[in-house]
Amino acid sequence: MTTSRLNWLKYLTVAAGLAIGLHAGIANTGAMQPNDKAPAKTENERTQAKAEFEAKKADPGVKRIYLIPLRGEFGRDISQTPMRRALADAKKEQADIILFSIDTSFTIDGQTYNEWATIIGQRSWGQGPETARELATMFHEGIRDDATWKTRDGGKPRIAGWVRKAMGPSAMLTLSIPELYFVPDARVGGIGYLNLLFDGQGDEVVQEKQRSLRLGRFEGMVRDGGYPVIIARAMARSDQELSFSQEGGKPIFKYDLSGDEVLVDGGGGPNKERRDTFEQLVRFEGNDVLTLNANVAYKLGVNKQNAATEDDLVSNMGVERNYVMITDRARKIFRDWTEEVGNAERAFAKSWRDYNDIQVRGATAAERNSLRGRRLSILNNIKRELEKYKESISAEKIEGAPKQWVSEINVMIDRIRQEMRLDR
Amino acid sequence: MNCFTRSFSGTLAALAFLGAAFLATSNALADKIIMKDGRVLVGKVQRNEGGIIILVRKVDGKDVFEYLSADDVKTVTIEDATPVKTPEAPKADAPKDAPKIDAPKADSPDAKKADNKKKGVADRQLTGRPARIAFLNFGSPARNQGAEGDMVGVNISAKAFAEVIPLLEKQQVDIVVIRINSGGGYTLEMGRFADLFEQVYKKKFRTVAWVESAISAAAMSPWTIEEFYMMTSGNIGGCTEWSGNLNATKGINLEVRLQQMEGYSKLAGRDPKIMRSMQIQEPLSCNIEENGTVTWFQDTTGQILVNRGNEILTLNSEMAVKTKFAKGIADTKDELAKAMGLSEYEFVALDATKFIDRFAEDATRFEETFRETVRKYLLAVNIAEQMPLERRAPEVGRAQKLLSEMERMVGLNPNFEFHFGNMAGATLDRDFFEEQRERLRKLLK
Repeated sequence: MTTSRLNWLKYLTVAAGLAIGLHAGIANTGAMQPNDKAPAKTENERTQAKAEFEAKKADPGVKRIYLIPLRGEFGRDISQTPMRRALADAKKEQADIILFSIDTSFTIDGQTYNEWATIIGQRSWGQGPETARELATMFHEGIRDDATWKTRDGGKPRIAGWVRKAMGPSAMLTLSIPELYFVPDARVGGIGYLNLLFDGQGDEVVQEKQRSLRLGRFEGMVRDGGYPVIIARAMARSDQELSFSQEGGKPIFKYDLSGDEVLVDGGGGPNKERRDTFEQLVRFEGNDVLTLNANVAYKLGVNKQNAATEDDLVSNMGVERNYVMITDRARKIFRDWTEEVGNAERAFAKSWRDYNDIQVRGATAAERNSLRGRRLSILNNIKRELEKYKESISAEKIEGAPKQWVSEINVMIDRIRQEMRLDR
Repeated sequence: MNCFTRSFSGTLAALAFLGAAFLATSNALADKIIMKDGRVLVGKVQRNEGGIIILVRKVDGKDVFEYLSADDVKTVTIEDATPVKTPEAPKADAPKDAPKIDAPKADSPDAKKADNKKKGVADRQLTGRPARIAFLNFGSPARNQGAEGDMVGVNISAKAFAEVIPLLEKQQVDIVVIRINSGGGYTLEMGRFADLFEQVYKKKFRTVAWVESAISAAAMSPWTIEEFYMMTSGNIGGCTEWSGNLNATKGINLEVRLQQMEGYSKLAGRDPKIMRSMQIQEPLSCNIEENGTVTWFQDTTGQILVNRGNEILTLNSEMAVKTKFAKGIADTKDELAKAMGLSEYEFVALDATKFIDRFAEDATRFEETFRETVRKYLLAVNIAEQMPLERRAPEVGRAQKLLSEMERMVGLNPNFEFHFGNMAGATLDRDFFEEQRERLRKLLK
């Protein structure tokens, strides 16, 4: 990588970082939440509304839409356990449609970035593709291969997504959903500059290998979603040219700039004069990598139709006449998970303080072993929490990977047991 | 996490790795090289072309590779010009009923049996007997959420795939589907797998690869199989060999690897250019004629651009099928059977599937706990050493138990000798365990 490129990258990274505080507040409001209507004001009204909802839900002619809101940080707030729980609940509800409402923050490894800072996208390629792939299997193979998963009419549920924002690795998961509706100002991307991943580290051929296998995984997800696989490359690499023209309502792609619309101009490659400027980036006008907006996504066949409101959405999905939207269950599951993970991280530090507060002193072996017993109890508690939340817990917050901690604690437990055995 | 070659530290480990990687094609024959300086080297000539001779020699019971320049060599005497491959996988520690995977000679009863078996599959299908299909997971499927490791040579072992054959035969399996989901692993296992699939599986069963994700060694290991099918999300490629801090294999070692894969491509009837673009930055394109013939080009002049010159190739399912690398796309077992042209079939040999899965589970568990077992062992030894002689016995007993546990873990997979060796700071071979036992015995004296 050239020095100017490095400087540019460094500058942009800093600029993106500076925007964190301002941006984070907006990103986590969860503004677009279908059925975010004012709750009934009195107990009676609430009871009545619930009874009406249940009665409607029981009607065989009414389509049940089970809403799974994906909010927050991908891999932490959005991870296997809450997804598994939500899908199990959807199965129990015999939902006709499982609808993912996607409004994730552009957060990677605990840092939230401004949406225009697409250069950060390369950081999406760490654990991102693997987590996205594993989550996607839950609603693809997981539902398909589960013989007991049936809707009330004996079929399988439709899987759909309503997208406001999927920046970062959540974009990969989003594009594996086969039926997508975008709100008019939606954005899906933030996974670009894969071609800079591992830049300056080792040999170029190995860097390319690492990039290639990651792109291959992402392409697989795009194929699962049923979308043109070429868009994966345009979203991932900034050194490619891709344009398209519409023929018979379908996009015809060209690997150069000769199409009617340019998707990416290879500005991250050798053509430095085409590189996105800051002015273009902050206005979302850059095209070194592809960030899908509602308009382009529609033309590429990714966005079935724009849906600004729930009414638009159900109308576009063809279920506007009779449906119920089950909104609260999955929301609670995901919120609870986020809270539990946060609690576990806080408890981790406190437990170690408690552990260190116990000094193994005493006149008799019984007294000393009693204190050791208390230490063991704390260690076992820490271990239990780590094992329960290991998929989401932040290694940074607990200063080490949960797996490593568990291993360390096992050795500590062994040592204490030996001390107890010898101190008799 | 997954890589083609793991980063080993130290020359010794690298030598061990290289040695192991080549074991698959070494044999006991004694070729002789007389050097111009008068030295006589005896071993197995691995390669003798392009002015380079690779000689595998036994030194202290280990294979050591010597790279010789033809300029320095006076004569090369090959004892047998057509050496028979003796694959490593089912070694002495394999069960007695595990088959040998030496290639049966053409006129041997075994070969005839294999031939009959192949004919039998076709005949049975013609006579209406459902084809019996077994699935072996080459890496845990993604739907298992990464519960087991997927590393070739660690969780995926040629030893286990060799040992499972009696179960497949007992169940009269006709078709073995190798379902692949792995991010790669150790190079040395690739040769073992290639030989096992080529010399045993393909002779006994219709052997089919079904790809969820086959990266690096996971793509190269089954490369000799002709029949590939992809899942919709499937991908295969990314075969650049590396170690350490993303350092690529270079020079003669790279040439050896390229040549090795050229050979595997030929065995599969596949154009070697495809794999070459997966290994090094070479462009790839192809033309497909009206009659379906695909012509490959190691440049971008073909009608279909498959790989750009500066990239490493990983094929997605769309391109794999379009270019006829894969025979079809299938996401379920039934779709796969249909894609294979079967109308009557049954899925059998679940015990074989479980056998392979259990190996992966054990390897994962051992990997997770080996380091702490080593630490517990060292702790026990340390305590024993500090105790007065009369109180040592229980501590030594405990250390012995942990040592046996370590030995049991290493015994699961021959590769664990060096794979776990990195954690213990030594190669965990027989000598290591004997030395440790001796150390413990001395503590009791």
